[in-house]
Amino acid sequence: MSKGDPLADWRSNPFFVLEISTEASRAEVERAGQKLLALLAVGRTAAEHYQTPLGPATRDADKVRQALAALRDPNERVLHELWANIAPSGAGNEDENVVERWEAAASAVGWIKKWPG
Amino acid sequence: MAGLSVVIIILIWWLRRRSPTSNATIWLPALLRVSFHRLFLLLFVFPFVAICIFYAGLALFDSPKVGSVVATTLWIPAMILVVAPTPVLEWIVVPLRLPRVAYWIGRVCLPLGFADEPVGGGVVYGVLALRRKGTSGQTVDWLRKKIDRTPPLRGMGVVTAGLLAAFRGDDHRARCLFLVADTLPSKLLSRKARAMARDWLVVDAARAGNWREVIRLGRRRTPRLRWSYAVARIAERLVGDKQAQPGWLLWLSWTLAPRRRASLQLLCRALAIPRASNALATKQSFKSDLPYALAGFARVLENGQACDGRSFTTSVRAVNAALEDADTCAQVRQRLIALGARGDAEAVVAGFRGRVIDALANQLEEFPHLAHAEGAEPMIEQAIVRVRMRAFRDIRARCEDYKEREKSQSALEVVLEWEMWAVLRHAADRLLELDPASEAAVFQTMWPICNNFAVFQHNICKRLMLAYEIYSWLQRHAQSAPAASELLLRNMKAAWTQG
Repeated sequence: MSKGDPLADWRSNPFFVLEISTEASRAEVERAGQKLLALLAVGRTAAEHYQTPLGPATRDADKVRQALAALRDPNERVLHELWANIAPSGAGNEDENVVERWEAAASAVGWIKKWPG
Repeated sequence: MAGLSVVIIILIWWLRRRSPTSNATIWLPALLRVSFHRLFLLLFVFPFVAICIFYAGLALFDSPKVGSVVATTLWIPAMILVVAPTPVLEWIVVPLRLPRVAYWIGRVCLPLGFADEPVGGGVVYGVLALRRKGTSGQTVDWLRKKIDRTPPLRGMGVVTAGLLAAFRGDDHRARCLFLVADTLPSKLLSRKARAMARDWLVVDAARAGNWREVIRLGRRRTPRLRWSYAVARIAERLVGDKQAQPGWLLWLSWTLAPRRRASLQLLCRALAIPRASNALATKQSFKSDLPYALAGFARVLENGQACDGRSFTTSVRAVNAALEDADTCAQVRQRLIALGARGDAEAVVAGFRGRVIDALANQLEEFPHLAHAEGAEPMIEQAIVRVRMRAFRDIRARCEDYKEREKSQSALEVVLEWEMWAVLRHAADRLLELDPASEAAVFQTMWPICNNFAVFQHNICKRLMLAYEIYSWLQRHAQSAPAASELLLRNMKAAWTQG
């Protein structure tokens, strides 16, 4: 009973993936990317997870390479900068409007396990 | 004796007159039918089996005592099984994870909620036993074959198909099938089966936090079901709906509903919120500079199912205002110069706007209710256009498949046909919810092809209830074509009478 994540693409913003500021220079972008590729190549699991203003996400070597390629094009980079410059959550507009999900709903009618398929 | 014979003849004549089906059948209420069936089992079948066991014992052990003890020992549980199969199934067989035993008990002993479709009822209990077990591909296939071989598939079969889809993890298909089942006429679907379908839908919506959908499902009038109704009333309090009930009425609804222990925590959550607090009202004011507008937009995207149209529109308006601000364009121009790019600032902002519209289109496809807010917002209008185009493309593709199969007279298995129809209907319903003004266009796209396909299912495949369901959906949306509506009504009557 799960739905797609509407923020998945946003969390894959190249600046979030590489964990750099939007004002990073080209050299800093390349350095960050190469460092992450090296860590992922040796299998460091800590490198597979990263934090974003929209919550945690995961990355692999492919994602890092795509992020580097996107930031090499200046026009693309400016576009990604606009998306990455997001105010931290909780600042300015508190979200009082969200009513929490009922996570235990499935067990209320006995939907405990699913066939793995 | 003569008087009794006259009474019986009058009774049979009256029952035949009441029969909605052909002249050859006699209509009996389900309770009467089940009672006759059980009496037959108790008075003829089980005594015959008991006698056989007795003589088998006599032959094997040369002692009448062994046979009579065995026969007597088996007689008592057999009686309980026949008289009260539902508690035996729900309290013993399903928790013991015996899907094939559950199927046969449901099939033979006719639990009251599934008397009209014994095979469907057997498969339901089989799947319920299965899901607690976790995995058994062979048994699922065996259960599915039982349904596939059962013509004609009526309401219970649709619920069973939905349970099987849910069990294999295909939630979207299960949702489509249960939505169809929930809107079937009451003569096609027992109350118990409808409760299963509606409860699944309510759980699905509640787990996603889509309380508006929970309210819509639970507050349906025909028929009103206790658990979904109670949860809907609780949800009204959670979201601050104007029609939220006072605390004592909530307690009453909860007390009258089943599964009280499971829903107690939800009730307490709801009672902690003051009545008509309007939790989902737009309290937030979005700042107009881009970083804050985007933060608000991200929150709205993440909580789409829980938001109302007004919050959604307000956040999009804030993003639009930030993009139209001269400062934003100036900053973009500055960055382009700093990076040595040759691009145009307006083109970059337009590209950004395009991606916002993509995100909006995905959100509206999932939650069409977000489109209904006061005050048109250009980016939302453009997103609606994109969703509409996608939806029409999907509907046309499915209708093309119907057209080809009707032309080649090839039908799929009955469960698969129901699944295909349920998914097509769901796509059309979503489009109509998003853009009610496109009803005429949707009808014109679907009606000739779907009607012909339904006629094929009706006349050739003898799947009368599937045909009836297709005719009735089309007829509900045929306001723009009175001649088509008349034809569909005639087709509906034909399918119903023969079904």
